[in-house]
Amino acid sequence: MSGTTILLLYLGMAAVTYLARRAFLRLPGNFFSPRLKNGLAFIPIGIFAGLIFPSLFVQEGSLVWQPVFLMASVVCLAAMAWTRNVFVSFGSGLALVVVISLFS
Amino acid sequence: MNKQSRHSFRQGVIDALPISVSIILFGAIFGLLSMQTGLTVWESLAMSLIVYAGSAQFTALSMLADQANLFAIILATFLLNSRHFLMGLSMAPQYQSFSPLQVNIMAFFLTDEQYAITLNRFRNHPSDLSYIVAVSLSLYVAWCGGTLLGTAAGQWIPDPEALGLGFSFTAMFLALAYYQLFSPLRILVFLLSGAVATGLVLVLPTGLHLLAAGLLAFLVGYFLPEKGKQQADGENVVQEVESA
Repeated sequence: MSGTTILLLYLGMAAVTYLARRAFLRLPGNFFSPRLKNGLAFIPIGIFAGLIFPSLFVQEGSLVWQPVFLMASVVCLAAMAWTRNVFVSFGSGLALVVVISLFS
Repeated sequence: MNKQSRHSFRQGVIDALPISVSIILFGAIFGLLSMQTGLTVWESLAMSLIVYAGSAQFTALSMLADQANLFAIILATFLLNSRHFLMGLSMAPQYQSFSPLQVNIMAFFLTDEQYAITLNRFRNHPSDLSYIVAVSLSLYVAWCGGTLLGTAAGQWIPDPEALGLGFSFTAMFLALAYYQLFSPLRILVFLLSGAVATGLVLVLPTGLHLLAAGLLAFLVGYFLPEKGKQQADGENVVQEVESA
């Protein structure tokens, strides 16, 4: 990918991010209905699910079963529940995968 | 800068310090992964400097690695950052006294963490521009500095894919998603949109499955508002604030 394409990509990403941050920074709080706010608050759940599940179950366009990744995912979530620390969770899940790939 | 604003500036830097440290770490992970995706050091740093949005940048990397369409990446960025509409809305009262130019500039720095720190401060202090500027600059410098550190570290890791580091994106997203999953309905939406996204990715491998998953989650949130969770503006978002 060329440098110009990358720059255009960044500018596009920056523009939509800025739009979201700036848009309502000067609006009265009763502008949105509670329903709409709740809908907006749910969007990240869908986005994260859309990122996580295909990476666990799809590879090169077909369904796959990857027990090591699934086990590591459980470790990540358990570490989050236990420590509430993103770095401990990220580190322990990833460490499990790295250790297993080193010894297999 | 008068004495009062110097004092608030210093207080802002101090209050932001613990989060600045974790943001340096996050930035370093981003820098590391961007090397793995095949970006150059400059491309990686430029993304942090220009876009300045943690989870969207991680998403962009993973989509770039999958050769996703550029518009799909921008769309995913928009969807992920649409949560800032809510944060801006809830901060609006604190920004009433600033000039339009000040609001236009500070909007760039409205990240989840900046929002959380300033919101906490203005619960018992009057709104104050120097404080917001101090917090914003601390976090921005931490994110971009961390990115640079990570790119330096990335050049020393031989073959990340063979080490299983491909899983690192999934691990990061799982940890971030955890903060969103605090009710049975939210967990159900997570599983449901995950299943839909997985199904779609088999037929539409362009990143559009993210749009579908985000839209599905929005519709559930819109049509099934969570009972007893209709807090005042901000309260709800604070819980989600750790998520970027």
